Amino acid sequence: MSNIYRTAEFAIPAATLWRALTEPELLSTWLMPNDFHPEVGHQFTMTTDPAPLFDGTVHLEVLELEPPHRMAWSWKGGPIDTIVTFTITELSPTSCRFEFLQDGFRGLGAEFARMFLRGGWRKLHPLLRAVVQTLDYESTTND
Amino acid sequence: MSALATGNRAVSELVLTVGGSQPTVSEHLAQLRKVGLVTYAKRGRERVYCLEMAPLHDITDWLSSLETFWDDRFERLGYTIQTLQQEEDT
Repeated sequence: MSNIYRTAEFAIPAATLWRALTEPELLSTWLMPNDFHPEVGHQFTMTTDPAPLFDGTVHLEVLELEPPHRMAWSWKGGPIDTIVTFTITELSPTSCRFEFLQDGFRGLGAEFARMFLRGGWRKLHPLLRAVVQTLDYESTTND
Repeated sequence: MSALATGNRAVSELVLTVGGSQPTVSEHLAQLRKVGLVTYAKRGRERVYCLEMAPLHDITDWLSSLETFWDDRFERLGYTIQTLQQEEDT
């Protein structure tokens, strides 16, 4: 797995879930304080607790908006540059399925992020992998 | 000699071990250094590189905290939705 995926079903109409995902006041109740605006190309930020390699600020841009089914943002924070996608599928007039995906981890920090999410070295650029393995091999065999 | 024994490698030695060209290996080392995964010490005119495992642990910790972050947020989304549902029912 090189991404974060979550899904849930809610007993509310799709349009209601869409509101929870796109109205700035509602977004701030469950996600983070923000200056979101539902418009393609809008850039905004969100603030959360700092962590290693992360100052707590997430930089976002609205990439796709298809009410009330799909929204995608670019999400850049700490060492990663990713895409988050929210998808709503209507199951009935009063229920829907919610899907979340965080994917597209890019940047060198992200190569390692992908590697750890996948649990292996295989997809790392071969030369980069060889460099790291050489240094790692030497340090472990000479301990 | 003890520097070599602890897994430190000069660029020239890495090129011999891993292949590729010296500029390419240097570029990869620069990228690794940028994210703090390798450091180097000067040995005469050469740079001797070694691996820093701490940032790798930081990245894995950070990623698992990102997963926890979303789980927490989606729980909150559930509560927000309950509130919206009640508002819409009245």
